[in-house]
Amino acid sequence: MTFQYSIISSDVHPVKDSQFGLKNFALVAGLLLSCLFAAIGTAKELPVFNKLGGEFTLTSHTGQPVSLSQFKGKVVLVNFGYTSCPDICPMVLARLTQLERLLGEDAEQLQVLFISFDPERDSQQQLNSYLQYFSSNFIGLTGSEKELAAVARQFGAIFVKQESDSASGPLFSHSDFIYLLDKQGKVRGLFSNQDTIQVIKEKILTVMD
Amino acid sequence: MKMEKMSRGLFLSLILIFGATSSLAVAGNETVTVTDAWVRAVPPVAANSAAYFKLTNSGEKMVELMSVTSPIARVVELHQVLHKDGLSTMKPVKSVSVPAKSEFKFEPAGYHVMLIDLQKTLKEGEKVPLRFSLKGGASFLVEADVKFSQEAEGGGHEHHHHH
Repeated sequence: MTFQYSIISSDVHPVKDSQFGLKNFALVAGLLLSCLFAAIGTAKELPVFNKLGGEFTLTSHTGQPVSLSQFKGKVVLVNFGYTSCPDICPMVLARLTQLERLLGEDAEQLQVLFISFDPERDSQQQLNSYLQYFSSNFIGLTGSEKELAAVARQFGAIFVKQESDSASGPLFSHSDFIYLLDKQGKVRGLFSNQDTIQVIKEKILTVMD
Repeated sequence: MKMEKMSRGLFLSLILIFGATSSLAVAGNETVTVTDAWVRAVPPVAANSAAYFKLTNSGEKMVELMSVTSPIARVVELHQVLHKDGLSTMKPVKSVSVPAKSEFKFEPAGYHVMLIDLQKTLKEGEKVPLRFSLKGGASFLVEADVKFSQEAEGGGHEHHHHH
């Protein structure tokens, strides 16, 4: 299990918190260690990422407030993205769709949450229509910039709006992990685009019944 | 330009022979082939999508891909995805050079042709036209398959382009 993760300077980060860089660095260093441990150790049980995740409430694609705790008893996969994203985000959603199919009946124990960090363009209606295409089980969430920044910080997720020459309007630099949360809502794994859906499936099964 | 007319004419006859899965252009002495071209099927409400392919330059000279156009998008741009510090960042690029006797892959999370402001719904199984323009004026048409995802996208896909 390998991934790279380090911190960009806080002046380009949407969260205005001078402590953020350090805190996050410690957190990420811990994460990397845990991953190393997980890779070296022979135990099949996934590590618990105590410093990541936690309760949050955002607004769903149907306009309802949705809290993570509502999904107690389900394995949750969390991913951050935006619907104008042409490459990475639809790829991750396509992978999540394939994963759901691959899980078959076990997918009943699964809830995918797609958190849009682009509330300006991703209205509830937009999120709803966008996600329906992939799976009617996926739930889209968004909120105010402040709410989204807080949730992103909980997960160590990063998104930075870029003004570019592109005709597409603002593009985001973003991290693209899929976070695996067990039935108690604890973060048990982070998957990168290098992880095969077969590997992800096997890991998900270890936190299912 | 005379050369462009020649290449188009040759291309048109080649596409009649080989069908729509690949395409050839002759620009001077260079031969350029585009294979495995596909466009990602996206939700009807999606503003943008991306096209991927393998560009092979079997000629003796470097070729430069200047642009791709398509009636399915209002604007088409060449983009590179940079991976740094755990972040993925898309960056428009002006052109992509492919040295002699080499190939260059546009693939998910790498280089892609960004299709901006889609003019029609991209349905799986359909084909969409992409016009490739090379430096020097040659251009040729490729039919790309609309697909939900790449077979290799289950993960562990290759990353060739480390710059």
